[in-house]
Amino acid sequence: MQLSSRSDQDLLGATDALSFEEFYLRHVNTVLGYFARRTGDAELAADLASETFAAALAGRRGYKPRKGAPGAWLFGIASRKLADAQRKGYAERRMCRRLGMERIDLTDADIAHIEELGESGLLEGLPEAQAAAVRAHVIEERDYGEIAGELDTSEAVVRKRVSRGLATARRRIGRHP
Amino acid sequence: MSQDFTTRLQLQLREAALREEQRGALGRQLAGLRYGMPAPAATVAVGLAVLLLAVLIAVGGLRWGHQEDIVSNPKVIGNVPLAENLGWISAGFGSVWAADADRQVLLRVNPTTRAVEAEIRTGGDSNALGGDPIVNTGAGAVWAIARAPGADGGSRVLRIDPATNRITDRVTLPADEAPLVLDLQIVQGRPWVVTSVGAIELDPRTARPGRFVSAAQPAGEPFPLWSILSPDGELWVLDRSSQLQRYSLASGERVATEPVPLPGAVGVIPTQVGAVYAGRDGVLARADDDGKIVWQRRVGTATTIPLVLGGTIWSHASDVARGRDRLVEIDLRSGEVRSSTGLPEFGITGMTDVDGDLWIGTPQGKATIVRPADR
Repeated sequence: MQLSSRSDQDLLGATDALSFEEFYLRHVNTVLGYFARRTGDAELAADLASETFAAALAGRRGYKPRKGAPGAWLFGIASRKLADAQRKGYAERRMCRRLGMERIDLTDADIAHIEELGESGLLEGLPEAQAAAVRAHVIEERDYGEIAGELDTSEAVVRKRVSRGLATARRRIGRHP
Repeated sequence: MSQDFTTRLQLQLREAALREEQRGALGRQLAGLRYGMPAPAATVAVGLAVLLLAVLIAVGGLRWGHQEDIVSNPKVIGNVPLAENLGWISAGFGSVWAADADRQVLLRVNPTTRAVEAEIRTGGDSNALGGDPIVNTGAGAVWAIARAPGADGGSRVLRIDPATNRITDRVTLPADEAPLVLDLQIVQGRPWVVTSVGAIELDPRTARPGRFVSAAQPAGEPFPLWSILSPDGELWVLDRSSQLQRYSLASGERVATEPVPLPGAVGVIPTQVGAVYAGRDGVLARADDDGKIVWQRRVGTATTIPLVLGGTIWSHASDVARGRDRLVEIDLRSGEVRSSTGLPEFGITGMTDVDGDLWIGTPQGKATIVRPADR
């Protein structure tokens, strides 16, 4: 699908199917990455993304520009869906059911890609040393001593890099996907 | 590789968005009406009900799993674009007659070639539920009604000669007997106009109004919930207090007042084995001659007033939890679901039998043609 130069606000304000599709394509990877990072579960992230976009489709007429940018509006929905899922322990599918959208079973490739979206978002913007330490300890699940040996530094330094990197990522996740 | 998930989700959203878009169009049509009321179903036209019921969708389960027991399903054998928006649809004189509801034109369609062979300009209310003109065939002619906006009369009945496609008679119906026109049916070889206050018999040769059967309305009700003529010559009127009033077309007298056994019924169809009721939440039910429910079945979260052909009920059903609209085939006597066929379009404006095939008019202007399995 060819993406246009129309603003997100224009796309949400239009009532035709193609406009929403374009809005979806602009944001789907960000939303998937957000959920993958916050849940650590690709299946749950996929369900939450589906439910978020279904809710956005059903509620797009209720979007008011004075309430914020379309992206913020979308992530407002995403945050509520995530909070509900964390409270209930599963992703609600009410809006998907209402719109006749069936649950999508993920392939291994889908899972790998969603995890990748989560990881790339997590490390994005971190200083290179912090990103390497976080990738090695959090994603690859290697212990501090091994990482310190590989990087030719002390275990305390690795701990500090991981700690600072995660703190930065948490702050970013907390206010922005 | 991840495009698999995102693409599938994209396609699901596209379909859902198209569906919302189409339902939005229906909603706008509904909102444009001065009176939101259902038209009665002739055995051929059911457009109004789907609009009303779509608004009244209730969440409910649908056991599509019955399909597992089905040996063979009907098949969709055509989806023919005819107009921007179709309305009523009927069959007769070797043709399909469909209302182009955007232009208020009657289309004559060849059922073999599926081509429009003639267009007859009728006029009508562009906002009328069901899509003007109302059309039916029988008593030696094709009949159309061009409704006037509002409920103050002024609707005109048109008699069309199928041999020439020309309007031979054009008669304005009396306002006091036809403040609001709901349907036109052929009963025992005579054309009748069903209105909000009764039924008017027409002269089959001149279209001139003749006898009028008056149906009393409960206080405060400007029009009935549903009105329909039975093949054996009665006017059935369903009111909002869940009463079914029956009037004899021969005498004009009320012959029965019966309680409606299905709570929330919005329509009723007389059949040889008792009344079939349609509820607002996708429920169909059949009562016996004593008025007791014999079977009751939910066919979707919204349904139309069905088409009854012989011992079979054909019901268009929507189910918001399942996506596609479906054509559900039900055994009239037992209520057993024989088949459930996914349809390519959303919504319905009318349905008619064309030599054993079912032609379904849609708000998207297409005629979906379904061939039953036993044909």
